[in-house]
Amino acid sequence: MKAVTKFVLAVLGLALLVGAGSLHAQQPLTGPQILQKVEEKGGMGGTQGELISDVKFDIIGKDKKTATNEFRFISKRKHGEPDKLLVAFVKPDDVRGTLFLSIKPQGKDADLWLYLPALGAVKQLVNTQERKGSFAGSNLSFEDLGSGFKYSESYTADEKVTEEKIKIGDKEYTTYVLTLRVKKEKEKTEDYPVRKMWVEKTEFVVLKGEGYNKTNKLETVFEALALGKFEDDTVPDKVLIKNVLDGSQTTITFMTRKRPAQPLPENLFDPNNLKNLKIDDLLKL
Amino acid sequence: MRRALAQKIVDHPWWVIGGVLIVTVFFASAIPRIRFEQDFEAFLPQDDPATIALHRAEERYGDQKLFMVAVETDDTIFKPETLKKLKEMEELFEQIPEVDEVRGPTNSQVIYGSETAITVATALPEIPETPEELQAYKERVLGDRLLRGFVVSEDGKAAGILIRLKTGEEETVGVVNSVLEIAERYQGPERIYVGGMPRLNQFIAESMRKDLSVLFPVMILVIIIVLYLSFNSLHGVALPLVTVVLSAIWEMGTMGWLGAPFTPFSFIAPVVLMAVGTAYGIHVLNKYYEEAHQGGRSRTEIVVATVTAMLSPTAMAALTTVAGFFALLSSTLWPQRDFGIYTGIGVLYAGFLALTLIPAILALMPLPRREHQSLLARWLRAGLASLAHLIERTAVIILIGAGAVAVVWAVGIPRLKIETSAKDFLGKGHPVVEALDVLERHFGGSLQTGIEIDVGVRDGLKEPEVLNKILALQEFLETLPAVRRTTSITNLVRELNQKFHADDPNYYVIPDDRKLISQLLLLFTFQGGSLGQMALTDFSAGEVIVSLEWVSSTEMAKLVAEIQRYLDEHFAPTATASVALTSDGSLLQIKAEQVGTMPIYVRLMDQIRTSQIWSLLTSVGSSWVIVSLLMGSVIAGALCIVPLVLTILTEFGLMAYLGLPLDMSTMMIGSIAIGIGIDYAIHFVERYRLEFALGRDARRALEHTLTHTGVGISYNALALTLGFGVLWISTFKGLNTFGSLVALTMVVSATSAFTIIPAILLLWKPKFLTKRAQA
Repeated sequence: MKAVTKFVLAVLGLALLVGAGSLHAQQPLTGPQILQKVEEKGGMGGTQGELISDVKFDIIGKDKKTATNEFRFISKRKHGEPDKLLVAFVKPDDVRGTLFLSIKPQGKDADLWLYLPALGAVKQLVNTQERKGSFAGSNLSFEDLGSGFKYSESYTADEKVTEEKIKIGDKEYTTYVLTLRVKKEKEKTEDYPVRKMWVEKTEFVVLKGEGYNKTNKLETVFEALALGKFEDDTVPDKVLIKNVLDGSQTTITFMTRKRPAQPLPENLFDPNNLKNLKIDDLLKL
Repeated sequence: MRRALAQKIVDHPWWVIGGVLIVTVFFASAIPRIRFEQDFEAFLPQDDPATIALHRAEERYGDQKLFMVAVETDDTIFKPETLKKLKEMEELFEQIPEVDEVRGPTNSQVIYGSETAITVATALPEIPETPEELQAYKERVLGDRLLRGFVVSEDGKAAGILIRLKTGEEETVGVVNSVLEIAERYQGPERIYVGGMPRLNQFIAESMRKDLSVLFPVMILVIIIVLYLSFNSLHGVALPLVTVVLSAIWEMGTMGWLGAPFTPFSFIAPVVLMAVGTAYGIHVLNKYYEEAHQGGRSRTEIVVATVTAMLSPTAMAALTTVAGFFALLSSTLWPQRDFGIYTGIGVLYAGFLALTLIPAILALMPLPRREHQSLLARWLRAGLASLAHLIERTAVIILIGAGAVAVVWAVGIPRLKIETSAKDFLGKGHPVVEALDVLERHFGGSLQTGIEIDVGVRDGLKEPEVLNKILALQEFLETLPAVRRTTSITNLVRELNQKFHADDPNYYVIPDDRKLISQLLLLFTFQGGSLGQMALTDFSAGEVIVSLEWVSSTEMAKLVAEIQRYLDEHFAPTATASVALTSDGSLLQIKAEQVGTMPIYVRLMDQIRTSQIWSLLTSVGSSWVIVSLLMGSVIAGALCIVPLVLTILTEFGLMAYLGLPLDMSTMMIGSIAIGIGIDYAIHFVERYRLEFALGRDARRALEHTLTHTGVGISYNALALTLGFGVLWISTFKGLNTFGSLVALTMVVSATSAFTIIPAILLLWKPKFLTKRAQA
């Protein structure tokens, strides 16, 4: 699970919530150059500025049982200021109104707070573990959702890249196929020594990814199932993350992406104010 | 017909030898295909309810087996040097590619709550340097209910590192070897043990390979000694030996081509075959020497006469032996069926080779110049002649004595225990068993089983009423004598509730609010907590994990029955009380089913009991039918069965009095004893009938039979007794017992054939004797 997390985070962070402008290749690019361009598009939590997304997670566990969660992500990113992300649980009903707040100062770990409506109390979450687990039973970790992830910190891309066509819906996309290999110093903490990534050639959107485990078996697959547009950029609207070994999978659907009509109030990201926030009000934003 | 066949063999010896060589190459090429299967759970029929339940549980909740490395100290594990070792070992185990998760005293997740915060931390991020840090760590770990007794023993003297393997890697022997190698590196002064089912299975696989490499040469040595004592010549040793070695190759080749694996019960089939199959070569060669010493005939005529004379008795003996082994086909356990079928096929190969290859080779060799009567043969003749005189005088006493002995054994049989556990098959003192004992001493038992609670609706397990019902079940289970500990989602919910209420122990209860339960569980999964066996993704079902000490199969059966009674009373489908009211006012039906290893062992016990009865009835029945048909008399068939009945009673009676259990290996003894033991009776009765037909009176017929055929029977019994005795050097306690008991039954069945049958025939002259005489 934990390995899947980082894989997915990377792909998601670099591909899903991004709204970078088109980048056209002038000359044949090497693997490291492509990886750099992919990372330049941004990290988890979206583009600069304020963003509201409604996201649905459809989870199928390795036991073949299903679970569905719906969230509203409200984020605020500004150069030189901490990244802020508020996650409000919408469904299922039992957890509706549960809030998570992440404030990540630049270059530091994120501070996390939790509000459980059934308890009516806010607690700071201090997580000092080296590895984080899954977010709402999916393959994502909450902290990483807020803090983002850089592939190049742990992996080196092979110089040589190949090209391949990928079909999503009716449209065919030409992609670079990158092979990433784990850096020597990260061998202990990374579960996938080798990853593969299919990057769309013009906008550097990651359309597909694969993670190979230490026994050289393909373990996780990421696939963009549907693409859409956000502020002139191509972004995946629906992605599938699958563990091919145990059969578990998560389908993430971005139901809405929008800029708030009014600037987000600062107390939205104030831990002391969490218990005053109402889910219905947040959904009206 | 028989003569024509014999003539063909003698006329074309090179064709026979060449053909045998080609077939041998064909079979030998398949031997490397044989794989090893050591998982005891795989031995049950796959459509057995217990197996289906286990497989379903494994599919839903992952591997159900415990795999743990235990580190035991004389004083405490709370020392920097021991903690450093534990941390390094955990890191190294995580590096093994097939390992999914490692949970130990240093890397486990600890959660602690305060008024303002919830802290989720690694139990020991850095090795403590000061006594204060060490004390803080000790309090942290021993104060956590989810760690105390799981990764650190209550007394702090032992630590356990739980290893979970990736899906599909549970049977990989290589993983266990990697774990063992790391554990060995850190041995001393702490004692490090690797325990659990994967280790047990790896040990069994390794031991089977080791046993085979030792048992084969020792068996060959034993056969050489017996043959030399019997024939006192090179031919006498070489020819039967070549026959059995080739038949063992053919047998293993057949297994290889048909995809049959070696199991802890069937891997000895080739070794057993070598002991059993020697008899055919011995009888053919014995007859050859007898014919050769009569003189006046050519080499060809002598070999033809030998084959012609030996075809029927050898076929009869082989068929009854095959019937005994094939009787194991009635077993519901496939390893036993495999053992029966492949040893039976091997016996046919051995009989075939004794009647073809040995004559073909003899046809190419010069006739023996002198009579090869060994010292052993002279002693035997003298001894058996004295026995004949003794039987004449004491026939009635022998029969009364045999009857009395039979009654004594029969009285003991109801005490016979059935044992199915792999632990007992290995025996005390094994490193694997020692590891299990350590897990038992420090970590709440070496056996783990499960009860699945299925509510059937999404989020059903989050209902307070359902959780309270599960908690009541756990409280009941913990009153049972062998149960050390139970774990379920109720433990987690109570623990989280306490942590969220500033660690106040008063909140170690199931909350009344379903929403709070949902939100607490949500928090747990957010922080990387894995629910594992506790709940399915949709919370419609989960397991209560029961840790218990290793108990005998009988106690296990009682335990399973007692748990089932509780489940029947409190849960669906039988109990009306299995309904819980949900928060929204609807009713839920809660089903409970025992899954895991304990029901498997109990089912195995039931299967052994049923299989034993059926295989015994089948082998006795089929032997009776075969002998009756071949001898043309139902009475003759019954007469041959009589000594076997005493043999079987002796075997089971002795086992009962000595407290030896009936397990998957010893339960095969009955059929084997009948299959092999009946040969002695057949040879004896046939020869006696022949002597009677020659006009000898009962006393003379007895003396001739004992001093001629009796010698052959004695060689045969000696070969088998020593042959099965070889199993004494096996690594498995179960096979030691099996070898000793079969060896004993060989002695008892030969002695019974020598004493009970003649005693009956001296007192009663059945018609089949006269019929043959008239013919």
